[in-house]
Amino acid sequence: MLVLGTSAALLALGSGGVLLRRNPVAMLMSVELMLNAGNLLFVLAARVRGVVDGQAAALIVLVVAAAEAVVGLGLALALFRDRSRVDVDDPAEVRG
Amino acid sequence: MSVPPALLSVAILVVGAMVILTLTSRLTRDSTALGTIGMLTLVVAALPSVAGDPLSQIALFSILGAAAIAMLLVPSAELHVTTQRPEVAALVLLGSAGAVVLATAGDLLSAALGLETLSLSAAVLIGLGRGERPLEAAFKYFVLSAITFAALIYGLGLIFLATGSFAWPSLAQVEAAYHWVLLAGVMLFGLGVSYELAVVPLHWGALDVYTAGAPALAGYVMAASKVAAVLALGRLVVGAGAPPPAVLIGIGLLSIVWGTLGALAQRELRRMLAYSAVANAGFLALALGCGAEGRAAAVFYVEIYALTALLVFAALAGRGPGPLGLADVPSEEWGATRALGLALGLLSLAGIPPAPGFWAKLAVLAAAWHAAGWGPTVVAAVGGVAGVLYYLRPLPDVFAAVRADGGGPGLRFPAPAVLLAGAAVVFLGLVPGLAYAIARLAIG
Amino acid sequence: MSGVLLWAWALTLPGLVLTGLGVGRRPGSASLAGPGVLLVVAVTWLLGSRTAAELRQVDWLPFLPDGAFHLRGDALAAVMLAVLGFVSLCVYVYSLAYMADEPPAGQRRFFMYLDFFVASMAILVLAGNLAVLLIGWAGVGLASFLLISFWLDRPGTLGAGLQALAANAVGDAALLVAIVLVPAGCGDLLTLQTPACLAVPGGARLTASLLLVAAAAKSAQGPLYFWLPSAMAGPTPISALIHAATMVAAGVYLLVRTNALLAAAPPVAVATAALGVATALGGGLASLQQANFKRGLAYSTVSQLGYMFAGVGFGAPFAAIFHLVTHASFKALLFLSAGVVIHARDGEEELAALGGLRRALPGAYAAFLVGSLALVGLPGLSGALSKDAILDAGEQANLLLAVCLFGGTFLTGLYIGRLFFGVFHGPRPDEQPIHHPSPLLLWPLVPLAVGAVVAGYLEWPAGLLSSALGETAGHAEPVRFASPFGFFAGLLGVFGFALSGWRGREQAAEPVRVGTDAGWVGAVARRGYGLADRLAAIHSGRLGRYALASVFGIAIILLIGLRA
Repeated sequence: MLVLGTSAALLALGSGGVLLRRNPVAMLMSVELMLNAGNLLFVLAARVRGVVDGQAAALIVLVVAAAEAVVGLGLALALFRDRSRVDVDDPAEVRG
Repeated sequence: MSVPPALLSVAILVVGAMVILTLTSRLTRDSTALGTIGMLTLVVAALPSVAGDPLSQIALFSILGAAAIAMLLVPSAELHVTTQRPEVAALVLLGSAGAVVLATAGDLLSAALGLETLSLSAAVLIGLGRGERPLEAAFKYFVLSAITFAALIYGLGLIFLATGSFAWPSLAQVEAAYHWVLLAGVMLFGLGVSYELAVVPLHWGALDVYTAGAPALAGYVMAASKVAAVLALGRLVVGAGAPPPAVLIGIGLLSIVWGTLGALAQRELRRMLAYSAVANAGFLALALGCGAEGRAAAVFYVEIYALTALLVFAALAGRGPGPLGLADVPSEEWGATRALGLALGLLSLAGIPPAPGFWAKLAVLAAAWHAAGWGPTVVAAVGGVAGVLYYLRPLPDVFAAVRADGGGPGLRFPAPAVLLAGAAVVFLGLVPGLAYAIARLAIG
Repeated sequence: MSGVLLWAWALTLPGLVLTGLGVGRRPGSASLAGPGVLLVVAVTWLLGSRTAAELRQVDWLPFLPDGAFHLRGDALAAVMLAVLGFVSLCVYVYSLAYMADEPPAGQRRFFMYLDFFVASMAILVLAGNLAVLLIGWAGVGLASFLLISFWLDRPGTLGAGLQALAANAVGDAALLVAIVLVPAGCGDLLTLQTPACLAVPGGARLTASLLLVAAAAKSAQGPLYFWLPSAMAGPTPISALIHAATMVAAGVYLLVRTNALLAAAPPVAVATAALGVATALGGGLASLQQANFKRGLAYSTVSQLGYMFAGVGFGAPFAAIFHLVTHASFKALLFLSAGVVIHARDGEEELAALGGLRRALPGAYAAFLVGSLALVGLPGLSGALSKDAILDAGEQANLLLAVCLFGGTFLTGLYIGRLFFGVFHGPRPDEQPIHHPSPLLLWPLVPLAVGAVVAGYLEWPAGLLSSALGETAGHAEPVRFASPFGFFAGLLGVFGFALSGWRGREQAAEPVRVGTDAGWVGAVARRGYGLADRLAAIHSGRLGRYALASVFGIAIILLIGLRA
């Protein structure tokens, strides 16, 4: 149960980070935190249910998270390269 | 050991993408060869569907068909860095692989992987378009998809906790104590997949992508992601008990209203089409929540909708990602092919019979009536007919602007893609029964 | 022969293709054959053995209760097709001259739209079930939109077209709901009243009400009238064909086709009659307030359609169809002669600028006079006989409403007299040149005028029309030349006509009391678009906001789902 609580707390922390931070890198880091909350659940469930699939899943999700980070940072770099303020609320040309 | 046909297709798609990426330097200069390799890969990847079950057939036909229409437009798509054209083709192939996996996966983890592959490919694909706007749209799309994916993974964790496996869940097989865990997990997972569907409240990123991406690429992303999402959600909802379908109906109605109102406010064609995509996603979600009949209707609808969207975007291709105001339609250079393709697409979206979009809406309404009663049916009917006010508005200008000379040399290239998509749309309009029967078989 | 009738809807399609490809000396001449052949086919069928033909392809749309592709070619369809062919042939010939000043591409487009319209209208009347009906229904709505907004460079035409679409959409929504809610196997228009098909929550009343809403939207009845006067923004031949003779009559056709259903739901029948009467009177009053020639005629159409709805509501669908046939003739005649005037005066439609044209345009003068007299119901002319039938039925069914209609004939005389005397009599308001109308503008008026005079004799004394229709338009009471009620109604109409002439031309150009035709429509539209704008403004482009909305959305949905 402690583990369940921890993962829920991680998810909440991550969500909070995503919502409160304006820097793109910080937002991506918060998303990573949320993903790891899920990972924690996998490991917990693998333990509880006695199957090893959960651990394998956790590893797979880690890889996916890494790939996601690469893509995200690449996009962020391309978008904010020429801007003075690195704030995700800034680019707002597509709206309405 | 027999290999599932979908897996074989995925492997072929990945190999094709690898080949393109290996030969990048050569293919940068020769876009015809690039297009050829891409099409060849798609055709070969479609072959295994012959021996497959209805679900694989539908998934492969729709997703690879969408990719084929996009591939016809890749050699001349408007890119920020024109030497990145091979990457664009590779991304179309990889994105299709992800979509096929999502649609036909045997377990949830694979589905999640397919979803993420599709999502990432789509984000990068859009970001490669010319100008600032596509990049901005791609970034927002990516961040929102990452947030939603994290929720999906958490949901997956909850499902795993409740059932001990990654198989598509069934509420009946879980002890009572874990019911709410499974339910929460299914809903989070479903919401994660719904991101691809572009329903409210997860539509923000998709809206911008459809507005600002290069038309050919935006159309492909729209078509592939919606098809895969519908097939995945359809299977998810089967064993999940009562609350998820009700949630889907609610989200669906909300999206119909939201998308219709938003589209009415638009004076720019691309953004209007984007909002209409949200409204159509609402129809899909509504249908998915209406039992077996509704799920079949949803697959039927998404088939038709994906092709129609591709038709419209193909007709708009070549203009670049810039906005196209409604007042500018008459002064555009339309050839007969592009104008008629756009007109056919708009008519189908508006639900004017005998264009197939009308049959699709009827199917959803029939399912909604039987499963959900008065309110949803009336709201969906009104939302559907209100569409004529924004879809048909540019039509007189489009017809008046048809020029026999083909609309200038630079804009003739979309013609094959438009013709292919148009032929598919016309075909579906003439034999709706056939398409519906296949849809029925795919999602039991 | 009977089988050919089923394919009548395809007759204008070759013309559409040929005109589009540029075949023909004048743009559009390749399309002339279509309506002509349609007329011939329909009349031949009516004069022949009159065996009904049916085409049924079951399971065409497997997800509907009745998803068959079902066409039915019977007498009612043939009569409607004959009317369609007759009026459209006249309008096509007329349009060759009327639209001659347009660039050739525009003329081609015009005739292609016309061909599409005729094909859709034919499908509508040949439909055997609701699903196929909706194909034609939506098609004519689309054609109407394209033709109303034909002159894109003129302000307001697109808005008028969108108004027509909006009203149409209400009707379409009602039909859509009707299509999906009937029980399995029930979509056939002739079996909607059987007990098996009434097994819906709401029964006959619900289904009948939905069809009434759809018909009212298409025929501009009640609150859904607003689009018809605005539709006058389109070229006058279109006002004649679509917005007077054929498309707007589709609502009446639907109610007549399903008259057995209406008979099974008496409250809805009464509502239909009341709606018709109210619209008949309201339309007449509104016509008196118009400053624009075509709008005055448009309100006349609204009013006359009200008469037809009243006929159906009185339980006399045959009378309604009879009036539909005669009305098609004289209303098209009125519009086309108005078109001659407008064309001769270079597009001038305002009553204040028109006047004293009877010497300069004698053909139009005579035609308009004939049409007016038929409209008011001069005993002996076609309009009198058909209106008489409706009033007769009303006398039996609902005396109060019938008396209102009786009074309405006085209004009819007043408003058409106002237009007639205002445009053709009195002094010329200015010395603008008048362009002599080409023969192609005048010749089509002749058959329409003949129809306006003799169409009534299709029914009296030999009962040709009712025997041709058989039971397809319900049981037909024998029509008298002039029942007392109807005779005096006709006299009242002529009196109104003469009165407006005596009052003189100056009265005709009175300033309009209330300038807004349908101010509430504008207000509703503004509210709607305002709401839409506010919703669109929510999408501020700021990622932080989007993320907030997404996360909160997920959380709320989760909570709602788990609560349930």
